[in-house]
Amino acid sequence: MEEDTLGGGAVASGAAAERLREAERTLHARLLAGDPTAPSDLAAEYLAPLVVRLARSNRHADPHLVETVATDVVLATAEHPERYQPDRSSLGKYLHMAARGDLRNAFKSASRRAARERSMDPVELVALEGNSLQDDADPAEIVAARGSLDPALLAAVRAAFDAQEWQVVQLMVVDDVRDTNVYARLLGIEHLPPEQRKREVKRVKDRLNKRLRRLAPRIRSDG
Amino acid sequence: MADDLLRRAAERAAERPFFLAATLLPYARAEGLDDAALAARLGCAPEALSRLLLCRQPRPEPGAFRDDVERIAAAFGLAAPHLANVLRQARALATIAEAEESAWLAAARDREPPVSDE
Repeated sequence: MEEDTLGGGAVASGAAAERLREAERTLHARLLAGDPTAPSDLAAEYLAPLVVRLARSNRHADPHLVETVATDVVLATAEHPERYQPDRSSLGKYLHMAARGDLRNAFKSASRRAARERSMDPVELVALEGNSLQDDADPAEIVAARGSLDPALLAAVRAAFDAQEWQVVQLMVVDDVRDTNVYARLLGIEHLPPEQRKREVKRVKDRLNKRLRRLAPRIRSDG
Repeated sequence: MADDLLRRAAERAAERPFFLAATLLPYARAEGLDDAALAARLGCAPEALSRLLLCRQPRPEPGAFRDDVERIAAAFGLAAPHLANVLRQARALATIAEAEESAWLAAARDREPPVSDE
């Protein structure tokens, strides 16, 4: 039996396996050649099996995180097909290994963050807020640090958002609200179908997170 | 379910300029189009929209742009000139939006009170 070619773990052998390998080589060649439709074919063919396989091997992981990691690996492979070496493994195996590594890194990062938060007493947290944000500052640290930021800097951060956006930022990073419905109410999009509502909330949060990250260097350099 | 997964992937791809989603989804929002309306605007079947969004952006050079648009159009059964027009409109809107955001941030910076040298 040969290692599976598709991400889902379906095992093929003999002629079928060779056909799969050939299809995989063709798709990889199209990606390398810059065929504009190849990334779409890659996602359509490999994303769903990869999510299933990754979820199966990480049963306790947050399904949303699993899907995000799998999606990012597929998108990154579409953008950088040269990173995949066909002579070393099947494409499905490569995607799974890459996603597994990224998922592991996400777990490590989350546990480091949790440990850091646990180890800080309130006095240390106040010290962190003293315009000494780290290079990898999370947007949460930026706004949560507002209590002791210089008023001028706080005003600059605040000025980058309108009133509604600022409320969303505070819900996101100060109150750590996860419930999509809370954001939907605030944004006035409760009437949308659930999937669309969820997408819209995510889009707004991603946009605000990006803007917070762009502000981070200014806060640090002004500190 | 696979369709939903690809639609969410397209949403994520919109954060990467490499993908068509990065041009077409902001365009749809700016124009107030939901998925069905965007698909109609592009002339594609609604169920094909996610896959279309996951295509690579056509390269910007004139000859390459036409070739890429024709390949995408052929794969999805679209009219290439119409797709090219929508993409040009979307790119123009994106350029305007970027310019507006830069101007807005510059204005916000100008409003900052001067910091004393103490």
